[in-house]
Amino acid sequence: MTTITNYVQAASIEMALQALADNKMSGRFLAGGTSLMPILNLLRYQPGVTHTLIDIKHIEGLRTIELQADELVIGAAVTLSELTKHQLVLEHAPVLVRVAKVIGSREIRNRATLGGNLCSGDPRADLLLPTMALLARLQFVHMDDPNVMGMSEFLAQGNRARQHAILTHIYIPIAREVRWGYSRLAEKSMGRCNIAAMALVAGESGSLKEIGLVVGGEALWPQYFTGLHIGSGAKGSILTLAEKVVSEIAAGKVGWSDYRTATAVTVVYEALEELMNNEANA
Amino acid sequence: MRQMLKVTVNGYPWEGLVKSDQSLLDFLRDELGLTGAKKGCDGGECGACVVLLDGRAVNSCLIPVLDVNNCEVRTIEGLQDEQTNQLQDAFVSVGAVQCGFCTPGMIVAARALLAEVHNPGEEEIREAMVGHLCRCTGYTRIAAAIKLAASRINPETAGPER
Ligand SMILES: Cc1cc2nc3c(=O)[nH]c(=O)nc-3n(C[C@H](O)[C@H](O)[C@H](O)COP(=O)(O)OP(=O)(O)OC[C@H]3O[C@@H](n4cnc5c(N)ncnc54)[C@H](O)[C@@H]3O)c2cc1C
Ligand code: FES
Ligand code: FES
Repeated sequence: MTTITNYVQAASIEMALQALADNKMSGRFLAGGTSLMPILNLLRYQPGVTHTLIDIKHIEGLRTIELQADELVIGAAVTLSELTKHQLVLEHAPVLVRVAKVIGSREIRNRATLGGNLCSGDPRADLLLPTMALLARLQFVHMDDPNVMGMSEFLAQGNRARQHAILTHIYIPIAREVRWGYSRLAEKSMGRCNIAAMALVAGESGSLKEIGLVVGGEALWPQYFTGLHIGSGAKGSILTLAEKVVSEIAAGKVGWSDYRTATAVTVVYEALEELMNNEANA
Repeated sequence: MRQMLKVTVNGYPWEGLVKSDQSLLDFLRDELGLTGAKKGCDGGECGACVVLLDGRAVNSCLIPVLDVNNCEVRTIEGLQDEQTNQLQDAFVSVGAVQCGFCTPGMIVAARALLAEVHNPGEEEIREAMVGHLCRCTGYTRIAAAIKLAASRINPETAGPER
C-alpha cells in the first residue's frame, strides 16, 4: 500500500540513468517534486502503484547557469527562484524571468525547476512558451546517446522524448535586441494558466517586421506562428491578427467554445500590443 | 522500505530510519511530534505546511523526507525569538488570527520574507503570501499584520505606522 518504495539520490547523470535502467517499470526522476509529489500524494493509498524516485537535483552540472559563445546555458535542475534572480538570465533572457515569476507561489518556486516544468507533461507548463519563443534547444542524455533537440521536436515527441532520458541543459540563443509581449489568463491566483501568449521579435533594430508568436495553455500544447506582420501598429490590425491566429488554432479543435475563442483573442491581442508598445525589453 | 536519514531539525541533529514514502510534513508531525506545520491539502496549494529548508520557505507536504538528508529544517516551533514574537503580537492585535490553522505557515513565510526585505510594501507582502490560504480572516489583516511587525522589527527603515 505504498507508492514510493525507494529513493535514490543521484550524484551524476550516469548514476541517474543507471538507476532508471535498474528500475525500468517504477523509476521516476525527481527534481523539485512540485509537479510529481501532488500526484504521488494522491496515489499513496492505491495498492499496486510503486515508484522509485531518482533525485537528480543534486547533480552538480545540472545547477549551473553560464554563457557559452552566443548561448545562455541553463542546467535543468536550476530552480525558478534561482532563475528569476540570476544576473545572466536577467540580462540575456528577461522574458524567462517574467514568466517564471508568475508560476505558483514563492514556496513552489523555491523548489520547482526549469527542467521539471518542461518535462512535466502538462501543456499548461508556463515555461514552454518562452523557451519556444526564444528558439531554445534542449539537451537530453540517454544511456548511450546524447540528443539535442529543438522545442518543436520535443513537443512532437511527447513522452517519448523524456522516457529513459534526462534533460540536462537548456540552450538559449542570445540575440542582441529582443522585444517581447506576454499575456496570461489564469482563473485563480496561483492557478495554472488557462491560456497564454508570447510574441517576440529578435535581432531587429528598426521597425518590427517579422514576429514569432507562441500560444498555449489548458489542453493546448504550445503552437508557434512565425512570419507574422503588423502594419503600423494600429490597434485594428493587431486585433485582426489575433483573430486570425486564434481561428487557426480553434479550427478542428473539439469542444473549443466561444468563451475560449474570446479569451484567447484577448490574450493574444494583449501580448501583441505589449510587444508593439515595448522598446527592447530589458 | 526504510532508509537512513540524517537531518537537523530546529537546531537538533536527528538520525534514524524513515519510511521512503513519507513526506517531510508527515515525518515532522508523526515521528517528531512537531505539529505546528499543518496538513491542509497535501498538494502545495494551501501553505499550512510551510517550513524553512536551509533557510528557504518550502511546502513540506511536497518533499519526500529522504530528500532533506543532511539539510537543516526549521519549523514554527524552532522560530521562537523576538521576530516571531513581534509577528505573533501583530497578528493578534490586528485580528489576523481566528481559528489559527493557517497561522504557523503564514508566520514562517513572513519570516522568510523579512529575511529578504526588511520593510516590504503591500504588493510584496501579497506576492509572498500568494501560496497561503486563510478561510477565516481574509487577507487584508494578514498583510497589515506583517507590515506592522516589520515596522516594529526594523523601525529604522519603516514608514509611518498606521
Ligand atoms: C500549487 C501549485 C501551483 C503551480 N502553479 C504552476 C503554474 O502556475 N505554472 C506552471 O507551469 N506550473 C505550476 N505548477 C507545477 C509545477 O510547480 C511546475 O511545473 C514546476 O516547474 C515543476 O518542476 P519540478 O522541478 O518541481 O518538477 P518535478 O515534479 O520534480 O518533475 C516533473 C516531471 O518531470 C520529470 N523531470 C523532472 N526533471 C527532469 C529532467 N531533468 N529530465 C527528465 N525528466 C524530468 C519528472 O520525472 C516528473 O515526471 C504548480 C504546482 C503546484 C503544486
Ligand atoms: S498541506 Fe502543504 S500546501 Fe497544503
Ligand atoms: S485563521 Fe482560520 S484559516 Fe486562517
